[in-house]
Amino acid sequence: MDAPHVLWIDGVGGFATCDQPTTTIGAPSSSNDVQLRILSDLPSRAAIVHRRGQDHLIEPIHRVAINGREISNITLLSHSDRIRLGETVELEYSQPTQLSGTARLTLVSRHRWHGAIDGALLLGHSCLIGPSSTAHVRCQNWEKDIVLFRFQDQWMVRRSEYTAEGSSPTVTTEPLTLGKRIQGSGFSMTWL
Amino acid sequence: MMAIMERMVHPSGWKKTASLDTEPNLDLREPNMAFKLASGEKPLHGYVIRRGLGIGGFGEVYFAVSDSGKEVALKRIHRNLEVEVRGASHCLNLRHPNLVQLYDIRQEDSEQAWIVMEYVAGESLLERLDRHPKGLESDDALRLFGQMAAGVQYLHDQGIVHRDLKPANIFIENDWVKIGDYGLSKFISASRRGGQTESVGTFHYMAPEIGKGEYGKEIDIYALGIMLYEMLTGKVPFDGESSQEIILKHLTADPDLSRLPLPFRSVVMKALAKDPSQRYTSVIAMLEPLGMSIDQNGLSVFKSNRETSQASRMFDTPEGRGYPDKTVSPTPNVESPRFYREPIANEIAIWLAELQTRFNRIRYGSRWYVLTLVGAIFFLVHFGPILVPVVVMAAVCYIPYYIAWYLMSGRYLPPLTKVSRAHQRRTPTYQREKDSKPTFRPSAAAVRRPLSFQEWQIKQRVVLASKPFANRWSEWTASALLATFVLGVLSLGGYLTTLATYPAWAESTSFIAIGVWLVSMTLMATWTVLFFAKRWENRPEDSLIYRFVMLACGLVIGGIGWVLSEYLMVPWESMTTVRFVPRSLDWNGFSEGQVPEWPAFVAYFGLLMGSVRWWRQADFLRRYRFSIVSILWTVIIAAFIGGLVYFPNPWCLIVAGVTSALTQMATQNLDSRSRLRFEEVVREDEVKR
Repeated sequence: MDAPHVLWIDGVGGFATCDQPTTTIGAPSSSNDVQLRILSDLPSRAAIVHRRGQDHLIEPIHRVAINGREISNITLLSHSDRIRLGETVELEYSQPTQLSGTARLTLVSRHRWHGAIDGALLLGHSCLIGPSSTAHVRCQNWEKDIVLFRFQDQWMVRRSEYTAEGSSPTVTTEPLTLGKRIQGSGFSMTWL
Repeated sequence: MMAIMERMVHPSGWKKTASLDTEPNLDLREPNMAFKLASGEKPLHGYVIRRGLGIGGFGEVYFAVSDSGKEVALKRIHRNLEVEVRGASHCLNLRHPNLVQLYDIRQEDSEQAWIVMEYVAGESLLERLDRHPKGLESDDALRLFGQMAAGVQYLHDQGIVHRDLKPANIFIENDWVKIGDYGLSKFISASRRGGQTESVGTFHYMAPEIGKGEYGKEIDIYALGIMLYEMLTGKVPFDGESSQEIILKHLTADPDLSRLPLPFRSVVMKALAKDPSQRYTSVIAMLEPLGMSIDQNGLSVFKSNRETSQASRMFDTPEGRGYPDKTVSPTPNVESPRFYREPIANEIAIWLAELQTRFNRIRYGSRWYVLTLVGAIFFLVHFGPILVPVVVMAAVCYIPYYIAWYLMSGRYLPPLTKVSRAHQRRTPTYQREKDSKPTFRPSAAAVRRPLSFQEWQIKQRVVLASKPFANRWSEWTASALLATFVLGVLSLGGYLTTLATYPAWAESTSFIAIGVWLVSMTLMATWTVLFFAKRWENRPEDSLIYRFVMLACGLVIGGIGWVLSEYLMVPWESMTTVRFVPRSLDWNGFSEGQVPEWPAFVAYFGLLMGSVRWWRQADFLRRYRFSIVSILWTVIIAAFIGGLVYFPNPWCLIVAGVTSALTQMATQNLDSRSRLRFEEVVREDEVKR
């Protein structure tokens, strides 16, 4: 498995997009098996996150604790869970809306992701980016949310924009293409 | 007018990282993102752009990675290129742990240059404050503030004034504070990009003297004071519905220090002094009362462990660590009225606060502690009998002084807009603006509307507020001299005309007496009106207070008028041509027969000054330069009052009419061309919002 592509959102951050059923977390190594790499003293494979429908489960390979309690079996993750990997690495799992099946992993300890990203999106069937409180990536100064969704093994982007005064918003749907910049009123992003 | 506005429209901060927490991140001070370059592009040899970080007034900032993997921030400069590059190159070799380091400046063509600098992966202070809407813990605030101060002190040591210190320019990475965006010219952006959201966010940290174009290091001290206040309380000391309101508060309002604990109170008070010369002369001096200093390596340190523990002890409360006011009243939603501090009380408050801070820093139970206490008790016992009457006398003198100051200064400032104060306090300005806006932004044509005269006056008064006292004083002097000269010419003309027509009367003592009395009274009334019109030109009109002040002045003028009349022995009996008093009334309380007594003088001038809105006739922002209608209206009111208090005619009308004409003649008003230009600019500003 190759490293996930990154959605670089201008003015907001870079987010690894993990759309496979399993995502391995560990330290940077030459192995291609690890999708999410944290610059740390973790082993190359510390834990695996599995997607099951709209839920995510974590499988510990190294020492893993959820909300301070060490786990030894596959455990269901819930919104706002704190995942500690090894001694010091700490992540927050958040799933603002369960329906989409998408969750976000954010580092809360003093560590950094490999690849200078700001977080990771464990993609389900859709993902919300924008100013609303249910967005997976909150972009406070955007005018409207945009939606990423799967359509026949292809990721699509749906957004609505006002094109003229008094008109109803125009909804645009286009494929999320690697390297192609998506730009609208007050926002721009690129999937690389 | 626009000078101050243009000076104050600064580029906003450039850093913006993801909103990764579940709490609302209200960072709308950022302009709308419109990055020219996309991820993956290589505008500079050896660097690949990952994403845009933010946009400032001088260009975009990108997060980029070098070919070898070094993470950097690239600032693209394409406006005011030469000045910016020169400014940045001065700072290229500065090195301090609390400054974002500049690595290089690359100019690949004449159109644009790139500043390669350190990328700070953490959040900005703005984002941290957004996550802590009630303020940071005092220990955290102190630690961050010390680092910020150390960075600023280093810049000042190098002869650099930051000029745009604000939370958006302060970055925190692993508890290390780094100040960014220094060394730039802060070229005044005429584009007002991002409209109101950008400007308002920036106005909160601007020292009052920036409006006058003064950019000394005192403006950094002022901004540090504002940020210290914001870190401790979660809100800026001067907030408002509009940029004008915020500027006005910077210029005139005193911060509400009641929510700060003591050592911070005096520090913030001094740092936010309106007069730059009254502020701390250096950042080190500002740190000193907080028990901190800067060591030989340029880092902020607590002066000693003992003092650290004492400084911390100051913040201990029965409810736990934190400052008392915050725990007692966590949500002061009701805004107390803002009274602006009287200068003497202000000085005494600063002095007492500093005294208490110094006393608190003496270790409890130590030799110095005991000595200080014993000394204080001895002083009080020995000098108490002398001190008490002195203090009582001072208080007795102070009360009328304070009342007079309060009335004369007109410093109780009514809010410019009637909005929910609770909403205003709890919601940042930029969020309120978003709340009030529909999602769809209408076109420029849709929001165009004429500016009402009152709106224009309110906006213009904000600008007048920046006029130095000395200028106002000299303008008043010029007006008063002009009025005196015109009155002199008028009097001479009147005398010569009378001499030519009725030579016998012109040479009589009664004519001289009434002439001198009229000129004196008119001059007194005119000077008074000119003085207060000038005094009040920079603040929203408060008609009731103004009338009261004018009435009080009128009473005094009336009293003087009576004394003068007695001294000159004005023969009122033989000079009253028009009268309303029936001859049968010998004494009516105001006058005896046709001779006005002192109550008539006092009542007439008191009522005349209190009834007519004189200050409007001499207002710099009045509609017409010279208004006959105003004079007629004044004369009608004067006739009515004259009739009411039995004051002899036509003299009462002459005094009123000539005063009205003189005040208008002697004062200028803003010419219509300037007004149109101002309206145009304000409209453009509103359209861009």
